[in-house]
Amino acid sequence: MAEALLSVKQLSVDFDGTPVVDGLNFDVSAGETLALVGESGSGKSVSALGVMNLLPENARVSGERFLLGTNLEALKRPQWNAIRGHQVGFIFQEPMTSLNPLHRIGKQIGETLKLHQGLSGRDARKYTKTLLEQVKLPRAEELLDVWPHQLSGGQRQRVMIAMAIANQPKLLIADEPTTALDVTVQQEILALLRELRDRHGMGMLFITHDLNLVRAHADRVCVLYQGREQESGTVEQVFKAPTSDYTKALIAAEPEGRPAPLGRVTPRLTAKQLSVNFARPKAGLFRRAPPPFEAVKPMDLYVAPGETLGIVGESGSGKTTLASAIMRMVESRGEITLGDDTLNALSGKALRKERYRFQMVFQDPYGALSPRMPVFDIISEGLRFHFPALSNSEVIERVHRTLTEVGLPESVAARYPHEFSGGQRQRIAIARAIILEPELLVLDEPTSALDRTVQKQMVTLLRDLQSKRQLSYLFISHDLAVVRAMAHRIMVLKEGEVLEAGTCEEVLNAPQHDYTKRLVSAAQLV
Amino acid sequence: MTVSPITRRRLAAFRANRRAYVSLWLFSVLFVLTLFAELIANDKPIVMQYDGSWYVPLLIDYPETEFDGFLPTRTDYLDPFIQEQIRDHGWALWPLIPFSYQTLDMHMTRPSPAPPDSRHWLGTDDQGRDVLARVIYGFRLSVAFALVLTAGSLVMGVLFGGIQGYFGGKIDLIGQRVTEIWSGLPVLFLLIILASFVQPGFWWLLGIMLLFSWLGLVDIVRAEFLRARNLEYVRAAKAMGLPSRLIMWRHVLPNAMVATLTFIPFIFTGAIGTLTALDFLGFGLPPGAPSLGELAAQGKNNLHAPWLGITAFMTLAIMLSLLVFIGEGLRDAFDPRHVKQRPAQAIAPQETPHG
Repeated sequence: MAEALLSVKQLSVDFDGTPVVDGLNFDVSAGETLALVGESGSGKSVSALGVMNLLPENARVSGERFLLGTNLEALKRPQWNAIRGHQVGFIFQEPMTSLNPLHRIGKQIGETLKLHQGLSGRDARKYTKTLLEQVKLPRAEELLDVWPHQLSGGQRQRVMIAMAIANQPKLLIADEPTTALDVTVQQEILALLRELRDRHGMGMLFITHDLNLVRAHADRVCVLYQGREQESGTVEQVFKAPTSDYTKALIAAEPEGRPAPLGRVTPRLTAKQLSVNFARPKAGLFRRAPPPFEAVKPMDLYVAPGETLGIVGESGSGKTTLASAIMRMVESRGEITLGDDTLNALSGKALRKERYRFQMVFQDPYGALSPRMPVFDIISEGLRFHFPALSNSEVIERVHRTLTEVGLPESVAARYPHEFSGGQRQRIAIARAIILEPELLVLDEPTSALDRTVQKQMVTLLRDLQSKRQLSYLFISHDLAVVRAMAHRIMVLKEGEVLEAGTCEEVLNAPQHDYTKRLVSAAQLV
Repeated sequence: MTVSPITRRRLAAFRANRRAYVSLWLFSVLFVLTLFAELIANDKPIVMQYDGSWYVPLLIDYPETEFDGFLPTRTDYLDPFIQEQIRDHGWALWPLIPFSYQTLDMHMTRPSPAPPDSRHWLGTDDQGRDVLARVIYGFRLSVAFALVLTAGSLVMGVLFGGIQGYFGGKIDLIGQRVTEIWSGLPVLFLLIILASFVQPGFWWLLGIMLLFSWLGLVDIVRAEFLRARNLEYVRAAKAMGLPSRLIMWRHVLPNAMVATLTFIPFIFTGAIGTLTALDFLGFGLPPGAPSLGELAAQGKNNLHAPWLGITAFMTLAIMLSLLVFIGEGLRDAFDPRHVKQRPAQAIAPQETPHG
């Protein structure tokens, strides 16, 4: 093997004395991709940032680090600046915030060129244009003068990549470069990165939590768990014959199982010609208002007791708006019935009184629980409101029973949300919803913010609850692996329209629509 | 009550700011002391014994006949005759400063305003009243005024700002325009006009200023509520069917209070400043009331008696500086950006609960 571009030995990082990364070794050679894999909190980003001295001041980094034979330990500040952005390029996770919104694209890229290569004016512009062409952005000439907000997430990430490779770095560090993007876009970006790597002979350090991406796009892999290296080797080795228990668990963490089959189907929730329009602002005082934006175009759906309807689509497809409409949280047209009651006819207090029958679990486990309320209050709030006749001891009893049901010890009731991990918080959120004994549960991406191993547990929990309580689920997700494990039927949404609907097997095994085909192939279902 | 870790971190951050912490202590000590102003500066004894029986002149008015005087009127304990009687028939425990804020010292050897001496530690003003006693009572009055005004502003500001922010839309639009127009009214002129047809007392002034002082809070509270109403836990509470007032009270308000609280010290200092300014101009509290602004006005009118102006200046300067330091410390303690940033990865919680 050629000499390593970046060689790290016994890297340790601690924050104010709390160790976060402990004794990590890895090498990256030119032309290869090393994937650092781990769940959140495993220290994968911290190690990459630590190697490049990009951590806040309260972090201490120790261990040997060599980049192209230079000892990084001994570098002073100006030398660091010469290395970062010049010999090492970075791509970060969040394409929405990593570009400065007040500078045009051409200027942002031009800045690094000016800093490291002294290019400016017409030369910089010309070179920037070729860079944009390299990252396969259409109409490169026009894009130079475009503001970041005019670009989509995928396009911004391409601009970020253009910035990262602008100075032909030897090493590219990509920290979860595709996590915030839709699945179909993910594949394109990663293919682009691989192509650029081969063309420029760069080494790539690819940080991710997604094993599917590692399998398809990395050469070697290093698995991290709680700051310690669990296993490393080539991708084939690690995936075929994992040696450490953690790696095995991680590989087996693909959501598995199928929803329990249904008997007779009598719809519990039905929506007929349901549509949601958002008014667009007038362009001027005397102009006519533009036609409203159709977030959800008229559609029909039904869910039976004990059944899960999966709603699949990428960002902007209107799936969350559909959920809000069924929850009666946004104005909608069309008829929604739950049991024998017409929900769309209710409003104000009458609607609030019925709300315990349909509940919702939100996507972000960190935002969905009020940070200033103990878990007991969070869970019991709805119960006390909807069933004021319950005595104190009955409420306590119900809360404890529900906590046990979602797999949490009773002792959590006295604690505050911030003490819990994402998975535990999501369990609390589910407890808050099911304690009201709803008939319908709307699950808006309940697993997408969770680690794979936790996702698997969550899917099992939701299926158990469903069969025990005959709950109807409206399950919204972009993750086909999770949907397959949860849903009886699937609806594929794009731009507010139903492209395809049918049973889970039908849609996933024999997709009819082109878009569905692309989705299914991008998901790389095992 | 359990202290949530956020609160604990904020307390620690506040304590770490030595200037703010010391200021808070100093201010608290001063305020608590002035709360007991009657025990520190008063023209009657706290307790006394006369002919074997106990008297509490501080709380009960006794007629002079009680102490073998001639008139059935309220006893003037500073009268040399009464003092002699007390000495002969028992004893009296006097406050540290034997003058109240409106006591005219009838037994002065020098013309007023008299410079500081052992009898009047900060001298007397142009009517022969003890300056230190007036400062002590004036401090208490200013702080009390500011406290009530701040509390009132807080209630009104949070109420109006909260309603505007939470409901948004037309309510917000109309509310915003109304508050803008309202805040355009010149408060000082209104007060001056008012002073010409009523004799403004403590409550009058408070009422008028309360009509305007909450406007500063509205924008902050509105912005916080506007932000919070789309947070997921607020939407979850809506989905649960809770009525708006409960959502606002339980879910939005506790999280909106942070930004609001940091603003409070500045309303507080503003209130003290305005009251002083009005007193200085003579449109404030009624004559005779212990007021720092009136003391400052006397200092201006009696330039040959610099102890008046200097005392007024020093008292105000110290009081306002302490409050500003406290406010600054509070703001920093509540501001998460002042805590050194760590990457999210490093503090992401583990699967097992801790804490």
